[in-house]
Amino acid sequence: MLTLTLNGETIQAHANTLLDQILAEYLENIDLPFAVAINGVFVPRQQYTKTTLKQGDSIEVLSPNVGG
Amino acid sequence: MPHDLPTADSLSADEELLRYSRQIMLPQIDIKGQQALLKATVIIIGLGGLGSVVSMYLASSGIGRLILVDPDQVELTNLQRQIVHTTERIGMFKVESAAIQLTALNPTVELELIPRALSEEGLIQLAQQADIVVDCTDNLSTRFLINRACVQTQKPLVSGAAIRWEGQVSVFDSRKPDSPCYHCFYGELTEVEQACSVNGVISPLLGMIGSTQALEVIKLLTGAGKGLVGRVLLLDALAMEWHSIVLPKNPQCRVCGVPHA
Repeated sequence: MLTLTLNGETIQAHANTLLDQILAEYLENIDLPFAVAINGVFVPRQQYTKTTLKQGDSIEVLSPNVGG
Repeated sequence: MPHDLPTADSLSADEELLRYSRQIMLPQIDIKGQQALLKATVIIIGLGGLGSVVSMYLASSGIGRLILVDPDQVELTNLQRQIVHTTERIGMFKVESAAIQLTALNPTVELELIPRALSEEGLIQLAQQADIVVDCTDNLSTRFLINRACVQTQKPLVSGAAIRWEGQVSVFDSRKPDSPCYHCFYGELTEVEQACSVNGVISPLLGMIGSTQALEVIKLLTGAGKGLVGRVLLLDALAMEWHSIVLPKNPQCRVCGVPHA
């Protein structure tokens, strides 16, 4: 098992879990728009199904901000 | 526009030096930097909460020419945060209301007022005569349009956003081959419903984010310091914490990526 953080909360995941699986499991509403950074680096949406996590990774889910 | 205040021509070089003396004394600005500001043309799109702050700081700092774009008129609900406008100017086009305040702040700044929404073609034409575009708009589709025009014309884009207690600033600079664009960041999102009328926004947040945008414009024009290209600065005003994420260029980006043969 891997220990990760998601928006500051500790979560557990199996090794080789993909980012999109984590998001599907933990996001309250996957249909709401969001962006993701891992360890402070933005991850393009096309990479969600190709990105594996490693021990200690910090996942940050950002809600978009377009207000002016 | 006609007015009785001193114009650029009527101000002596001494007065100009005095007006900007407190920033000219900064070694990173100096006379050379001030001259760069005075020669610059900056487009500000959106004269709402962010545009209020951006336009006032850029006018007072002596940007030579500001092009203001906004199709909206001043409303009572704007005044809590859109501090370039005033109560007696409710109903006036925002660009005209802003022009009154900016001319009062610094009569030497040349203003061009565009009280309508621009098409992508229109913005591309306008951007060609500018040095920098500042995005102060409030919706994703306009932000995408501005980004496409900036990538096409290779003009730096200083992008800010603020809603609720959250702010965000970045700079996208298509002149640099490794710079991401706005589409690299939010390109896969569909329209985000995020009007202030629905979500609310705390007033001084606009000051923090708008000031940061104005500061990045001055840094880009004078070459001072390190810019925000490749980083997105995020503000959580409730925790009062800034942090940044690294935003690499997405080689597969449909707007700025290398086209496939």
